[in-house]
Amino acid sequence: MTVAHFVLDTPTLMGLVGGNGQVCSLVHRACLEADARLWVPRLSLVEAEREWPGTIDHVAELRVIHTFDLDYAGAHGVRLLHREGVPIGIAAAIHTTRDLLRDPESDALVATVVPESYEGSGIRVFYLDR
Amino acid sequence: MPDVALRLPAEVADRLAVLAAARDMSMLAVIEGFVSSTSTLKERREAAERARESMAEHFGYCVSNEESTHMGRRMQAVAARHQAQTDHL
Repeated sequence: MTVAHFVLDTPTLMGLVGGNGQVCSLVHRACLEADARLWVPRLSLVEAEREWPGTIDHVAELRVIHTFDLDYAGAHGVRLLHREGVPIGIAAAIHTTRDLLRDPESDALVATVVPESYEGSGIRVFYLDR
Repeated sequence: MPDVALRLPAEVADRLAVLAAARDMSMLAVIEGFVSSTSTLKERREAAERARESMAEHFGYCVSNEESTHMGRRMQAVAARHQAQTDHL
């Protein structure tokens, strides 16, 4: 069985707590799909919490969004991308997706409300349009 | 801790050994991982209902069954595309 990993970035997390219907539908459906997993980089979670206090507690309560912790190499990669102007919450999603793709039995893509942020990154995007 | 003896067909036991070796795990750890990470349809439905209620309360959006079904189709289409590409390799 191929597992499909969907990685949420900071703007998408903000969309979730702001009541974006597409993001909420993704979360609901992920509960029902046995071969789908939702992830959020811890960096994005903290970033969203700074913008919208309470985010961490509410997302944790859903229990379907797993947190992903980058290793030192991943954190270094985030720093390099950030130096080129990529927001930390986007860079973290890019590296989380790359890490998840190391498992040959898995598929991984970013589920996002800001697909334009990934142009040129080589990362596949699942567009949550509204 | 209760002991449970499993009698497996030879081909299933062989397959379990291959899976365990590929993951550098014991056969017991493979079984434990499967049991702890696999949920029943009833459990998944209950989790989805809890998530729907939580999102309605905290985020102000109540997901309809139609929206959820539509999203499921999109997610499965993505998975099917990946599977087709993998099979092609």
